Amino acid sequence: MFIQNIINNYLQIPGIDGMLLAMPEIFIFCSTLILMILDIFFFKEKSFKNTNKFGIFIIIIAFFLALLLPSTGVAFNGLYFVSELSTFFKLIILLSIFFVFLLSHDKADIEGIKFSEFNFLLLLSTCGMLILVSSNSFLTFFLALELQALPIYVMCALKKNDIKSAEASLKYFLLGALSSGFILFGISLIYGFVGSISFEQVSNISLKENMGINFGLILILAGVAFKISSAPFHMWAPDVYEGTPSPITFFIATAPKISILGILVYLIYRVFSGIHDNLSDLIIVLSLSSMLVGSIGAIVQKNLKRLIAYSSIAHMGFILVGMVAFSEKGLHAIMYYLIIYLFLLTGVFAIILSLQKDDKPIELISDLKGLYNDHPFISICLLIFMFSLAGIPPLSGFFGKWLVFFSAIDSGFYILAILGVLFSVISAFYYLKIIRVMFFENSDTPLNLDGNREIRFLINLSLFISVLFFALFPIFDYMILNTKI
Amino acid sequence: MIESWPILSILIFLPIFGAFLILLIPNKINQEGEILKNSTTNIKLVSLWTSIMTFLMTLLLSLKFNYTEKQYQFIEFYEWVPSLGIVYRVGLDGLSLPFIVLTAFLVPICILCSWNTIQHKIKEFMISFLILEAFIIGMFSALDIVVFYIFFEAVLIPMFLIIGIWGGVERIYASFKFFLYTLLGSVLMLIAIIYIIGTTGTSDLIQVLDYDFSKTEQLLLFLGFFFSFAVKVPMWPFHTWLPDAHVQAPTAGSIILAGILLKMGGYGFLRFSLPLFPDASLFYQPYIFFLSCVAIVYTSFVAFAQQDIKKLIAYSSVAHMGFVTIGIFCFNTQGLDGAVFQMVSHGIISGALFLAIGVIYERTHTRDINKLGDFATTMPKYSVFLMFFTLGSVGLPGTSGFIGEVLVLIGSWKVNPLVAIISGFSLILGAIYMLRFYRKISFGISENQDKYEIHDVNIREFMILIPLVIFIILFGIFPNIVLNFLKVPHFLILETFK
Repeated sequence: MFIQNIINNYLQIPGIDGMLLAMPEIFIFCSTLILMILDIFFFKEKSFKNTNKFGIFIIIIAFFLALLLPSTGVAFNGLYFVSELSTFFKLIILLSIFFVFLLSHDKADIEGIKFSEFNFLLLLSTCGMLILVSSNSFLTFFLALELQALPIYVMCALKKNDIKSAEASLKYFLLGALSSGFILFGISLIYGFVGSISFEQVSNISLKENMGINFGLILILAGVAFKISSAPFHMWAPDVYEGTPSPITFFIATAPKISILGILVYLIYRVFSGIHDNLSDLIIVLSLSSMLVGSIGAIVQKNLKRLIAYSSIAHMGFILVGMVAFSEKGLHAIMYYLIIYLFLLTGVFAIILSLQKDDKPIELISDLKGLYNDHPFISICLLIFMFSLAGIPPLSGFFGKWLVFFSAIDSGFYILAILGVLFSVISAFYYLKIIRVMFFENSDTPLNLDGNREIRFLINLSLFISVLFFALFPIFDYMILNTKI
Repeated sequence: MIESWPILSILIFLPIFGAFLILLIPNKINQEGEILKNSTTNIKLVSLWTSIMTFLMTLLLSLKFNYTEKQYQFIEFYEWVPSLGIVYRVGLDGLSLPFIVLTAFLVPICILCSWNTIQHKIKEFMISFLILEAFIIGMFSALDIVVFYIFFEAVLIPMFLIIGIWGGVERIYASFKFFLYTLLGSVLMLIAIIYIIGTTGTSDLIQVLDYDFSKTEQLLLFLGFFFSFAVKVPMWPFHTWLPDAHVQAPTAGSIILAGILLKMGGYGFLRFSLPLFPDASLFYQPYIFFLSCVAIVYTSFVAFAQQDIKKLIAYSSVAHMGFVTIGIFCFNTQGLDGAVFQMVSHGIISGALFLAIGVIYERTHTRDINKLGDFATTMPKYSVFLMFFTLGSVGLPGTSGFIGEVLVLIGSWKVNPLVAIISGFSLILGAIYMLRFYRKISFGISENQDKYEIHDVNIREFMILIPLVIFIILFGIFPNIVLNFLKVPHFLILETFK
């Protein structure tokens, strides 16, 4: 507000309000372009490291821009809006991108992605995500969706000589393009029946009885479910997670999903709130099938990242329970869950990245054998993350689970809540399996721990949040309760 | 002055503080890569003193405790998450205090009995154990449903590690079964708790107790709580995790499992199920009687057929806990008193029996009843101890086991004579299998006696067995030591049924 006052009083430029609202995105976009030029002319040998450092710098500035600039308003003829909720999602997304930069800082070499393009693509995709959570019309929505997705397809293929990486990229691209097609078809149907692509006008029209709009909505929902890897549209996730280098896997598992959930929340709670009854059945199906596939599918996995893929499918199921609830509690539960889940995944990936067996990154669950004997602290961290992911109190994961099911029961979805907690017990099995491998089994070949400063910082941060979440709960409570949609 | 201290929170966090201190003790390693002996001794001593301090604090609490006070005592109250109505409220009444003292009493014994048996990862073992103690004390003193649930489920983490890391050959299977079984039971309670908070708007037990649930609500919510407590007790047919967990756990793990963790179920029934859902408790009474009777008779027969001594004691635990559930659901003073007394006495006796088995196992490395025998000549002192524990388990008059069983029988006779007859009949079954066990161990002839070098109990074992014997006899002769605590809380529970 303070900055806005200064600008309003001293610099009278027409349209500056809209520009101010979109400042984080504009800043990221422009500085990325400048960074590209700098890279070509100046950075030479240290190209990756330097662009990475600048990237971190850009993200931090964007974070504070999003935090300090005006937090409500509509801009660009109603195509773009900022609310407290979208600011919240922007902050979480920027935080996760910050983590991606830190994770890749020293590890890009061993993961085979040491190209400065990685950083540019990451920044451009971030730009798309920020626009996505702020989009106020189907046009912005679709364009931002593509802006966030296209760089990711390229990033998956960065490890050029690796066949799995190429496969992952191709799979992700084909299925992603298909889902974009779905979304586009859905949008065109809605445009045909409503006559507008503006969210405001769509939400003002009574939509309940209209078959065409409902059909379009189903298509959009299917496309979005693809992007957040919710079952039954989850097939790409395990392969892509397995094939891509770990920092990019972490990126795919967090930031794009957060941004799409952010806009999905807006669509469900605001734009299509009139037909929530029709929607909730669909989301229940998505949620239950995700929990089912996620918890059963992970049991047989041997590859660590495939397991994380299935576990993230299950967690998407839990998050969607909050969407079903369709109440303020549900919204808050989703926000909590995203924060908790982001920190847990950060910790898990930081540990995966810091461990090497025979000078190669670890891949299989059995590679963790005897980790406790070699590196007690790391294995205890991973133990805590696993128990937390399984939702055992007093760790952070429990509170996420608790809030989500609280919102479901509060809105009367008892069966969904009961099935949800039962699936969470099934999924506890494979988290225990990882603990078993680390603590109860021994191995002959020792694991190397190669954690640099950034990774150690991330592990400690995640540990702090997941162990002491119960103490931080009141603080989070205060922050999140004051967020308006 | 001491009343104004947050004494209960200090009690809960003292073991965690001890665990933190242990974490700071460095593992000094000599040239062969072995951990130096004096650093492990330091670890053991710190954990022992922490647990003894905790025990002394609980004794202090019971001295300061007012028997006749109807309110909870030593209450602490902090706002935690106002928007969800969750508060941090801990306090004690006569029901929780005996269990807290029992916990604090058994933990030093567990630490002493693992003094030499735990050879690797001693630091981690002691840390897990102290954290386990903190969680258990927290659970018994929680007066907020969410705080209770958090402690109730958090107990699983250290216990899973204790079974899984320091357990026997089949430890992985046993630890997984233990964890998933109990987790499955307790998640249904989570749903019930969430529903209660949703309808009453608070999770503060004192306020929730004032709320009247409708009959249908009670019937469903009772089931939600029932499954988690029934798995913990464990009631037949939810008991199958117990023999595996007991057999595979290290001695200290078995003691704490039989001594305290099983009591969490019975305590939960008394603290939540009965006062919150009186109508549903009355409705389900016959079913619970049926399950308990089956448990008592069936597991007695199963215990009779066991070759593994630990399994035998495990099944006998299920039978004894059957008495507890019968006593709880009698809804009269004798039944409730008997149930709690039986829990306390079973905590001491079964802990003592597992300790005694641990003593043999340390020397012979077998638990097969056929391979053991003749300890009356090789270990005379030990046999005397074992006799006390066996007779206590049988329920001989003069031992604490008798009081609990006889009170439960009186209580159940008033409600349903058939139940009293069946459970009374099974007292004989208990005597049969326990005495068979004692005859075989002490007087039987073992097949491969010469293989083992057997020496009688050493001074350390003597020191931990003696207090157990003293308490078994003391409680058998002066049961009012425990029963005095229970008068007011049981009166208040029975009030809700009128």
